[in-house]
Amino acid sequence: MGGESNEGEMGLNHGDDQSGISRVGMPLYAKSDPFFSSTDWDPAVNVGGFSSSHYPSLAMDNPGMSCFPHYHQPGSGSGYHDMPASLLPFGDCGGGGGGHFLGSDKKEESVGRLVRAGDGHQVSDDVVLGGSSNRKRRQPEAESQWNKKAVEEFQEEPQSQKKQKNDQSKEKMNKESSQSEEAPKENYIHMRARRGQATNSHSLAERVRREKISERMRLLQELVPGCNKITGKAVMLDEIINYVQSLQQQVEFLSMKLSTVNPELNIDIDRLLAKDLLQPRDRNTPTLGLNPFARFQGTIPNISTPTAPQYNSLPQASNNSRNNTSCFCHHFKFSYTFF
Amino acid sequence: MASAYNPIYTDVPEKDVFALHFLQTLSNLRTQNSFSSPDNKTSDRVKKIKKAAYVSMARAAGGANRLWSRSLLHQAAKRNNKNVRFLRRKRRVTWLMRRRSNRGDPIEDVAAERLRNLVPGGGGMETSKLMEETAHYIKCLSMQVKVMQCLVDGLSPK
Repeated sequence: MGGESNEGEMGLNHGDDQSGISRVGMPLYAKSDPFFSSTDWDPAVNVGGFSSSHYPSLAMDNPGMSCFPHYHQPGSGSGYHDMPASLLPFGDCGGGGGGHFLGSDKKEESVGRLVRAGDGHQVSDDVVLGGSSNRKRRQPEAESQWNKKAVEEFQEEPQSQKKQKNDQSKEKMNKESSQSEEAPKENYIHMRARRGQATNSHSLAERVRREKISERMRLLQELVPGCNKITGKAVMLDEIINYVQSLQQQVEFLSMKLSTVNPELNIDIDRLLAKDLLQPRDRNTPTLGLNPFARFQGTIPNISTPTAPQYNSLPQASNNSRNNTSCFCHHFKFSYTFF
Repeated sequence: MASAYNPIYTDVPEKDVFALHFLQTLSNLRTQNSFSSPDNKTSDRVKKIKKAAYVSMARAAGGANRLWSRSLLHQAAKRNNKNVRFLRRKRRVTWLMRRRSNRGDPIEDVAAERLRNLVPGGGGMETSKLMEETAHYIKCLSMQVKVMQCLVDGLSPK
């Protein structure tokens, strides 16, 4: 596919993101989108650092074919039913460079957007703008009115090109007008705007954030028992909260039980080691093997001078040494003198 | 769409780590108590044991590596009027910025607030980070519960 070769020569270079988007392949919606035709999908996305010299090559690659594979065929239909007929003739597109406007920014989140020039008269402007090597934020004059109000000035805001006025995306813009300030990341998250959704950087960042949250929700769902059937964030979150509360209550209850069982708190570690008390009796919990205690048999006789252990002296010890074994040796040294 | 970033690390040490930490904190408790009044009220003792459980759990789960454990240890140390210093990574995003970026779904915001109150140290975290911490916290809590259950079983008279 011609598109793929373009992508190869672009040389995606972004931060440390190895497993990230190493290739902007077919978008995920490709499979489900009925209007997506794989033959003319053009990954005209500027991902990562991208010098303007690549631009003409990219532009010239699709001379005859329209630059906007999704949108240029009114029959096969994008979702935009009010596509003006003036969009079709792209003779003055200048070889199809068009409004393939790619957003890239070195520091911030790089977002690529599929762009559509509207109504013909912006096309030349876009070509000019595209050809220049200026990467700073620009406000193209030919901009629909409602887009202007949604555009914000951020310093590190990646470039954005406005879409043609469209009811569908307009709704999206109004819905997602909340700003989301993302902290500057060193790993670039490359996103591609879905069809029919706003390509404003805010909404994209918002979507990234929402996906992060849903991914973690899935993780939590596996942890909390009996939550496989639940769908929906609110119910799921309630379940999680209940579970955490119940666990904390269990800790409290067990500590109460422990205090009554052993009033003087004279837990004989020797006896524990001998009897292997940490194995469960009649429950189906995984057993604790003898090995960890056997490990410390050798170190226990090395008893140094008794010290009065405090709560806070231990954090330093445990923070300094990442190795748990050495911690235990220290701890058992002075805790053992009292038996 | 969005690329896959770093996998979420929620690894928790084995049960024996928790057990050992808990046991030695309990023994510390015992040495402390021997100097104070021997006839403790039950509620005091319970509270002390509970605190010991949480502190040992926080330490077992990787003391300063996790936000919730760090804040737990801070709280515990503050109650004893001791000052504990943790080596902290420089904060790139301030607390206020985080709060601002947390504005999202009102549905999930309410629940996130409740979660923040439950999980120690949840005040200054973004929602996604909060969920990571919750996952790790749940794992550690369940491990601690298992350890305590085994202990109670072992120590109770047959």
